Amino acid sequence: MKRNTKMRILSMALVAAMAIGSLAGCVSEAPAESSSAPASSSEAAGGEASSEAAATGDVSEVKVGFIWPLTGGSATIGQQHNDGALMAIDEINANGGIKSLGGAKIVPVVTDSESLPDVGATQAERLITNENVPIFTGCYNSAVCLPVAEVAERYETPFVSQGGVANAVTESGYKWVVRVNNKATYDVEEMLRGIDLISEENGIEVKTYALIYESTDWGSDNAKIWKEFADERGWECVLDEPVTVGQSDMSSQVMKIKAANPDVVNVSFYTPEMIVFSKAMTANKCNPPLGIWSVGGGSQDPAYFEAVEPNEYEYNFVQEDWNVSMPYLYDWAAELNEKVIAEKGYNLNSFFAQGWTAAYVVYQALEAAGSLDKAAINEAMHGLNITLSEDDHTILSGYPAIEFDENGQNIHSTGTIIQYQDGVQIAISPAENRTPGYSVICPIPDDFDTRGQNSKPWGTPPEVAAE
Amino acid sequence: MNSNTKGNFLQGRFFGLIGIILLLVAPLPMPTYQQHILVLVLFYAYCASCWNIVCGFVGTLSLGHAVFLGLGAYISTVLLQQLSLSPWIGMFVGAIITCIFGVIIGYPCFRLSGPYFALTTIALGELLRIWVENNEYLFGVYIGGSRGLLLEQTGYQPVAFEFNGKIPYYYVMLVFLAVILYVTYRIKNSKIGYYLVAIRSDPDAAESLGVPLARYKLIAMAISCFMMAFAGTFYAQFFRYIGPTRIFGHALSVQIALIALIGGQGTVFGPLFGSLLLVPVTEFLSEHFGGELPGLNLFIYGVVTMLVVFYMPKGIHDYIVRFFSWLERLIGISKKPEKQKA
Repeated sequence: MKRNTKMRILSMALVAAMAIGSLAGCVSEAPAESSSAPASSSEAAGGEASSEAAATGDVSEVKVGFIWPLTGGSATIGQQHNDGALMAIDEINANGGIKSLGGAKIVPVVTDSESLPDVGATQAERLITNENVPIFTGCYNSAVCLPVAEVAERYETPFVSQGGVANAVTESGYKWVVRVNNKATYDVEEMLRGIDLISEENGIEVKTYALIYESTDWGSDNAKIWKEFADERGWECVLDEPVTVGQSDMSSQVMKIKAANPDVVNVSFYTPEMIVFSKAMTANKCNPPLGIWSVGGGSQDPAYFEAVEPNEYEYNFVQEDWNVSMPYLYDWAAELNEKVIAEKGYNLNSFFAQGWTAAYVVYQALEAAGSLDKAAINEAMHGLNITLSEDDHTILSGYPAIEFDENGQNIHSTGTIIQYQDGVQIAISPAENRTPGYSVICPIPDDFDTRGQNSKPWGTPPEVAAE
Repeated sequence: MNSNTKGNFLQGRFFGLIGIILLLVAPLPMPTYQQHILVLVLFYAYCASCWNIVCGFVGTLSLGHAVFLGLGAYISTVLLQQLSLSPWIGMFVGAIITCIFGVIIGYPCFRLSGPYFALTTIALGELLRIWVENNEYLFGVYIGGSRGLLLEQTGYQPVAFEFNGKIPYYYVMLVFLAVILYVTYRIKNSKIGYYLVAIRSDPDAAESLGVPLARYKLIAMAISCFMMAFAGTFYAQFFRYIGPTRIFGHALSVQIALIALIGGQGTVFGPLFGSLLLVPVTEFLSEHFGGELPGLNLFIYGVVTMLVVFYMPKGIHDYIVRFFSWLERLIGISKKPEKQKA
């Protein structure tokens, strides 16, 4: 038989196998088995039967849905959210599961949005109608959170939105959606308050600013809100530079920043663009006196810190969507940090912490509801009032509390502004969160020749003298 | 079977009839999620069929066809949100504008050949995407910029193209698909179709025989764009959210082209076969591997697609038709066709 014929037959066989497999997948109903491992298909227990059982308090497992961008532009970020969520579920199950449901174990059903809105919406459809999850969480990207919230609302299924900062997620009148993390407005407010603080402390008046951001919903939203707040302060925007994703070089954009000579630069990029931007800024020795302020995204991703040199993020300010001091403030967070380093190979970070907190919020809603009735869970979810403490592991993200307003937005979701000093994250703002014994380095020194030489590896905790 | 010869609308009538019956009744006993997948099957089959009219018959490769889908989606959605115009009407407005836009774009582009046309369509898609991402208003009308447009739920309103459940969406899309398949069949078996096939086979020879290349390419483009805009309206109403990054994005264009190429370009049913294979397979792989082994589903999908492109370059259409013709002969409901005389 000729090689081409063989390959043709192989191709046909593969096509046939895939078609048959997908048809089989469409009609098969998986057995109900107990497992704490993530179920990416209908392999876990749950469904209508469990919903009915839960009404009588007789349930051994509860499926919970997770939608993360595990592939696509936000893959590394999504993976860390997923790591956090799954480790939280492991801990919850190890501690006895959902006690109000007779110790029912949570079975995570993890799906991949591919960072695409229609794929995310389709996965939400699957979780709700095929896997019959009574509550689910995700999706990180605002563009995915929005259509997924629509699906949740249509099917009247509680949805804990995690990550999507677009104001519309909680300001579109949804009754079945809550958001644990900051919305875009809060993010920007925190940064601007941070700039106010350090400019006052260092006697530097801010007059001009530049915006550089990826031209996606998240980047544009951030830039627009930044402009509104900056205009209120009377600052002048000397550069407004949206950047198309997928750039391999940003030298021209950085040259524009240099030419505009702003006092401060605000940047919002996901990981790939953040890497390119940081390298271009350092290569061109661009050094705004009040520094580069990033609204998270790529500058919170461990993958970013693996790809760049320490001198490329030294002195940068980052609005972290979690309290970076958590491992130093709480014993359980410190233990968890060790565990994450051992198992995942990276330090606790914003994405892991937020994935963890989202999973715990789902658990708390189920615990408070004591039922798998979606309306009861939704009511319980909206009524949650959790305070950060040593006894409750819910708020790894470090918010002082979780309490939702009438729109479903957590009114206590705050972040921390940090500055990288010798490669170490130093909490700067709000002032009460400042790492003891440290001050802000500002104006940013023009030390490109020596910058980063004494940097410690990313994730090294600050040395804080014992009181 | 030669896909270029004039054949029955349902080649392999017996199984064709069974196929039609299946398409009519298949979603009824299915759970909602499977119905959702079936809607996507029809949606992508429809889009690929639109692509097929201009690319399958003319033989040019468009990798920016999502642009026309996006335009249809944006126009009908803006008309709905700004003027409360029903998407049923808005989609025709969108189709007309998209058709004009397609012809304007096609006029210079069809003078390019080979990879240049494909590159131009990619550039067009990127251009429009970037422009929409960076502009919230067009002549004072809100188009959402990079945030896209969110369609508020208004409940069950058929007049506003909003239904409860998936079944109505399925049958709407089935009607759309039936129309595009019929249009494709009519084109294929008409003077336009013969001209287009002649242009695809040998443009110089066709031109020397008096076939006006540009005119017939533009006719195909106009029909393709007009029909593609309807898919855009459907996408907006079905997902209730449109964002430029996805809807004008290169990935969607490639996805549509790939379905037609794998199915069998230049055939009536090839895009449907491609969609029937690829969409459920994508969902199946995503469901079973997407969460546990991220990316494996895309890897498998990519490998199989490459094998099909390499070793079944005309797509799966001919193999499927041959298989069912053989099956018909096997069960004795048809005879082996006589060989055509030279």
